[in-house]
Amino acid sequence: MTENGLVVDNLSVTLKTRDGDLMPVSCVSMEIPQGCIVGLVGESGCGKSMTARSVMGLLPYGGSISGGHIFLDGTDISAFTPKQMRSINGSRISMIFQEPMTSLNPVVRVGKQIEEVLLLHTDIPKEQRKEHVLEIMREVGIPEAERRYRAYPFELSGGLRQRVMIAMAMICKPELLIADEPTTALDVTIEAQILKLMESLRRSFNTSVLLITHNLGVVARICDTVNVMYMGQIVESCVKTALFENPQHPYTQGLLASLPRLDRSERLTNIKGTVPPLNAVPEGCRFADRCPLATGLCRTDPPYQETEPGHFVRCHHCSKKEA
Amino acid sequence: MIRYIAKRLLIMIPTMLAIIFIIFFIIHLMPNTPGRVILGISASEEQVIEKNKELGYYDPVPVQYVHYIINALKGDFGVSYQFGRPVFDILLPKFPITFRLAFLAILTSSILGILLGILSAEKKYSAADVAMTVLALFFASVPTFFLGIIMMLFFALRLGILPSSGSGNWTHMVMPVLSLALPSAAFISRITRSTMLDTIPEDYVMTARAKGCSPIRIIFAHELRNAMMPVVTEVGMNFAGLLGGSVIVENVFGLPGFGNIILNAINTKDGPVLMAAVVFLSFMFMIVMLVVDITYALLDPRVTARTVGGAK
Repeated sequence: MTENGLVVDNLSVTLKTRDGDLMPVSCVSMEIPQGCIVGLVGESGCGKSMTARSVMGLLPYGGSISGGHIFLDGTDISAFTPKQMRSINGSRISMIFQEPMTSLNPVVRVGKQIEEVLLLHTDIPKEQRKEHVLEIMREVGIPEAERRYRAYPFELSGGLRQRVMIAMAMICKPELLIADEPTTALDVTIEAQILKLMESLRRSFNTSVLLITHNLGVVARICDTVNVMYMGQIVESCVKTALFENPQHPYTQGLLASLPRLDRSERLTNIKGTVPPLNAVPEGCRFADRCPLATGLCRTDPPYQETEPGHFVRCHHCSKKEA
Repeated sequence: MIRYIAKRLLIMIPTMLAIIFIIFFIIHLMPNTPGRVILGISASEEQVIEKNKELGYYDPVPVQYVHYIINALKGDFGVSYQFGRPVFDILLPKFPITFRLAFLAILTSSILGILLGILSAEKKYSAADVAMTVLALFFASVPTFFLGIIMMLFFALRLGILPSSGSGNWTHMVMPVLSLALPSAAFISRITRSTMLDTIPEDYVMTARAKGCSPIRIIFAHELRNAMMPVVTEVGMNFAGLLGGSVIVENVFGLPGFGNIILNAINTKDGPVLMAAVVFLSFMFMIVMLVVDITYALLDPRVTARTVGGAK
């Protein structure tokens, strides 16, 4: 276990609903070493955002961490009180969201919204805060920062708003940035710019990034390691190159096979069936019902094992293949 | 912004003219000619006709209307039939008491209503929320005069801590203000509750939490400002209503305000006083609505962008 960075250890999240308790995240473990960009990939509803929100202490009403720990630089933050969480949110861990259109307060000038982070987390006197804000705005590539400081969110484009969100997240130079589908709502040109920006900020601030996405293209572009999530569990975890060259879990293989490719002309395949609802989690391997390799063995819980150095897979069959 | 206000002020001129015309016409339809009102039932028909001629009562209504407007612009709103003094001198001294009553009532009800509304929204479906819903329903439905009388019974007769009627020091204002403020606070708290509930699931609230804002800061710095628009409308409407509509409360508590004058003018068919009072109230109403609209623009910059075309 590394000392620096974020370590999620066996994390489970329970969500109390009218129809009983659901477990959107079950026994998730991952590491985000300082300065790395780690991808968390999966379909909608697989628990990616829930994992991120539990790291931030921002679970929705009725949600709570029901097991496991989250360590930030060796400190267990999963046991933090709301007040303790507030003191690290925005300063040591920060988060940006999918919808830059609605994630900014529509009636407050964007400069003031960035400045609020300084107000909450630093002792910088009022007169000097604006200078810091303008500096970070320039750093994240907002042209005419002085003028944009006074702009309202509705006066900015989607790409600029996301840059404002990033400025807000980075102004305290956090150790960890959680980016929850940061480019999903943007067009591809802006997506490329934002990813490039995140990569350069990672280098200049030595911030680790947890990048949540369902877009494997984004993963391919900037991630160092990747975790693939399916129904609240991590099914495969490895370095990026291994994921694309040697995907081992049938779910990962299915995801990659359903990407359109320019160098092949055969028909796109898709993963058969649909994701079962969380209140009907299958016994044993959660992917078994949709898996082409499924056998009777898959009715028992598959082990999460290292098949190659640094390459973890949750599948009965993968271990067999290696043996 | 200044252009926007100027435009709104200009629009007020034709509106005011139209309002005056309608009121003028309605008052003209009242039975009893002014001559009869002024001279009383003992005067002869000839004397009455003579008086009416003197007042220009037999001129066509549009002519009288134009006369009225011209005189009004000079600050002359006519002479009261009943008191024989200029209308302006009769109305002006009554205004402070009505304004103070309306202002204190709206201040009390806004503070009370907004705070309770926030509490209701934050503690949705809790016992406190249910209790406030019931109380709000009670105060919104109980008639003002009834509330006033009950309070009078309790505070003036039973406890003897507040004077039951009249005007003088601040203790005379407590019960009138409360009986006007409580129903209004009930409406304001309901609206605040529902608009606050709308903001709670918004993405920017999540952003604020991710920044590390405290719950109090989230409410006041982020949610409330976005939730204020409908509340401001409600407060404005209530205030405008209170400026003219406290007739009942003024009567119950014996306060010599605007409401009393209007009621008296109706009873004595005192046309000029009634006319001027209604014109004045319409004017106040328009001013309040303008203030409400300006508040919109201050609360939400998108309003100016839409109405004026560009925020600058």
